[in-house]
Amino acid sequence: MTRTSDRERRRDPARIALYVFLLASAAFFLLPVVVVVLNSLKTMDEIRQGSLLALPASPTFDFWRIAWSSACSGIECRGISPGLFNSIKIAVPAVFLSVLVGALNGYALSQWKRPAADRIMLAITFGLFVPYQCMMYPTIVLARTGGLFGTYPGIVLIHVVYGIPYTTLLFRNFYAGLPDELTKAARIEGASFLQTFGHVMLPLSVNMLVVVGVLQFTGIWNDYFLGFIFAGNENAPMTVQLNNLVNNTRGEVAINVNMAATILTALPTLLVYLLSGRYFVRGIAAGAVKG
Amino acid sequence: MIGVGIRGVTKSYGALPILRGIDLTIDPGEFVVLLGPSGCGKSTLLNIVAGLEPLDDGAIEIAGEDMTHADPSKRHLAMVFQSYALFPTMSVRQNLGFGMRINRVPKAEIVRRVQSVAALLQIEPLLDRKPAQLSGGQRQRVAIGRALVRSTRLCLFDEPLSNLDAQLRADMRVELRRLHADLGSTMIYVTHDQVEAMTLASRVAVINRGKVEQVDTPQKVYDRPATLFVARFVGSPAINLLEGVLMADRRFRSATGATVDLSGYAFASTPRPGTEVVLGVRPDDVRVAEAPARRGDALSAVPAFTESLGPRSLLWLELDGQRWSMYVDAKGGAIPTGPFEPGFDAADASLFDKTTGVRL
Repeated sequence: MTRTSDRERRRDPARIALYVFLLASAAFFLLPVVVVVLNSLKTMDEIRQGSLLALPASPTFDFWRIAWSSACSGIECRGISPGLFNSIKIAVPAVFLSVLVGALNGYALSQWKRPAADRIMLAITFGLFVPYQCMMYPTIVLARTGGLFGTYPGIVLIHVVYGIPYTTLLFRNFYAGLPDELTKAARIEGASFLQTFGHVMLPLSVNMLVVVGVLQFTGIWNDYFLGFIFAGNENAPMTVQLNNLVNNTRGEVAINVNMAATILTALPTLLVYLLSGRYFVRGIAAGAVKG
Repeated sequence: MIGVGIRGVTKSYGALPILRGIDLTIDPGEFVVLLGPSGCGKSTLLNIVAGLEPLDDGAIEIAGEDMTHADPSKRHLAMVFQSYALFPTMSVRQNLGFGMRINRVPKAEIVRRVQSVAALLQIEPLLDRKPAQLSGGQRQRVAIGRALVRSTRLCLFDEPLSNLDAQLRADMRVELRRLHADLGSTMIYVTHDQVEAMTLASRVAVINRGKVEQVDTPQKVYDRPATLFVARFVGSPAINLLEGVLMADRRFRSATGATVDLSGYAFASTPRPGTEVVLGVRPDDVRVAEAPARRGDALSAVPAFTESLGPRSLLWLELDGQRWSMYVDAKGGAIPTGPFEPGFDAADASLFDKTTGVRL
C-alpha cells in the first residue's frame, strides 16, 4: 500500500515541477563551479578554441600543480601554497577564539537577568549591522597605535573582534533556550560560573560549537578585505595571494592556472562543510532534560 | 539533620510583591511541605532558601548560622528540581558524582558514596546510562540520588513529582516517606498538590499570595483550617461553605433564615454577635440528621446527584443556594431522594470571619 502511494506521490505533477525547479536552481548555482573546474583541466589552446562548457579533451592537473607551487604573482613565483599556510595560521586561532569568547559571552548574557544585560546585548547586536568598511579608518588607526597593524596577532585579533557580535548572539539565544534549572543544579552542586560553563554547558553545545565554528571558518577563510589591509605581506592569506596571482599583469593571462588556484583556495571551506555535515542536524540535548 | 529559619523574608519582582514577610522555623528532621496555588511564591521561597535567588529583606538561617547571603554551595543543602535538571551529557554515575568531583573529593570516596546512594535508590543497573536513556521515574530517582549524595542533612524539593504519571507519583510518595524515615533528613518540599502535602508532611505550611496562612500538621490543617483560604484550598471534594451572621445565642443564621446551633463549637475568642461569618463543614462530617429538629428554621438540603466512588458515594446537595456534598454508603445505606435535614457536629465545623477570613 505504502509503495503504491509513494509512487503515486512521486508522479504528482506538482511534485515533479518542484523537483524540476530545485534541479534547475542547483544547476544555476553550480554552473560557475562547473566552468571553473572544467577549464582548470584544459590547456590554454583548448580554452581559446572551444566553448567554456566543453569537456576537456585530455584532462590534466598540470595547471593545478603550477597554481599550487610555481605561478607568479608580482616578483615571486611560488604559487599560492604559502597563502594556504597563512590562511590556516590566521583562521584556526581566530575561529577558536571567536567561538569560545562568543560562547562564554552568550552564556553569561543568557544568565544575567537584568535590564542592563538586554541593553548590552542590543549594543553587541548593533555591531552586526554596522558595515565594517565604515569602521576601517578608526580600526586602522587603533591597530597602528597598538603596534598591531600588518602583524600576525593583529589580523587574528581583528577577525576575533569582528566575529564576536555574531557568535555571542548565536550562543546567547542557544543558551537562553536551555532550562535554567541546569545552571541552578550546577550551582547547588558547588560549581562556579566557569565550572558550570565548562562541565555542563560546553559539552551540551557541541553541535552549536561546530555550526558556529564552520560559519566563522567560512567567513574568515573567504575574507579578502581584512586580510588585504591588516595581515601585511608576510601573512597574506590565500585570498589575497589568489588576487595577486589573477591580477598579475605580466605575460599572457593563464585562465586555466587562475581557475585552478581559485579551486584550491575554495577547497578547505568545502571540505569543512562536508566533514561537519552530520553535526548540523544532530540534536544532542533532545529529550535530555524533561521526560 | 539541620534546622532552617526563615525570618521575615520579603521579595518582589519590580512592583510585584511575591513574598510579603515569611516567617517559618523548620526543626531538624522535619518534613515540611510548602503548599499553595501556583504563583503564591512557594517556589521563590525555596529558591531563596537554596540561595539561588536574592531576597529583598529578612534572613535565612541554616543550622543556626546566618546564610542570608551565602553561596548555594555553602549552605549544606541539596535540591531536586521539577525538571530533574540532570546533566544531559553525563552518565548517571557522573551526574551523581559531579558535585564531589567539583569539590575535589577523593576518587575512592566518590565511588563509595555513589555506590551507596545507588543501592539505596535501587538505580545500580542505570549507572552507566545517559539521562536521555532513562524513563521519567528513573530520572526522578537519579535526581533524588544526586541530592542525597550531596547532603542527607537538608534536602529541598521543588515540585519533584509533577512530571510523573499518577501511579508513579504514588510510588515515589511512598519512596520519599521511606527515605525520610530511614535517613531522618530535614526536607522542605514545595507542591501545589494537597495529596502530596497530606501524605508526606510532618508539617504543612499553606502559602497564599506571599503570606503563610497556616503552619500545622496535615490533620490539623484539614480539621482546623486557620483561614477561609486554607479551608477552601485543602480538601477534595472542597469544604462545604455557607455564609451568614452570628447571633447572640451562639447560633448561626444563614441569609435565608436557616439557623444552626454552634454551642458545641470551640470559639477562639468570645464571639461578637452580628459578625458576618462563613460556616465550613467537611463533606465527611455531614450526615442526615438522626433526630431532625423539624423546626421551621432548620437547614434543608435537596439531593442533586450522586457520584459513585466505589466503597461509598458522594451525594451533591442544593443547600440554601450553595452546592454542598456529603458521603453516603453505597451499599445498604439509605440515600436520601427528597429534601431532608442535614446534620453535623458543631465541634467539627469551622467558622470564619467573612471580612478577614480568619477562623473564629
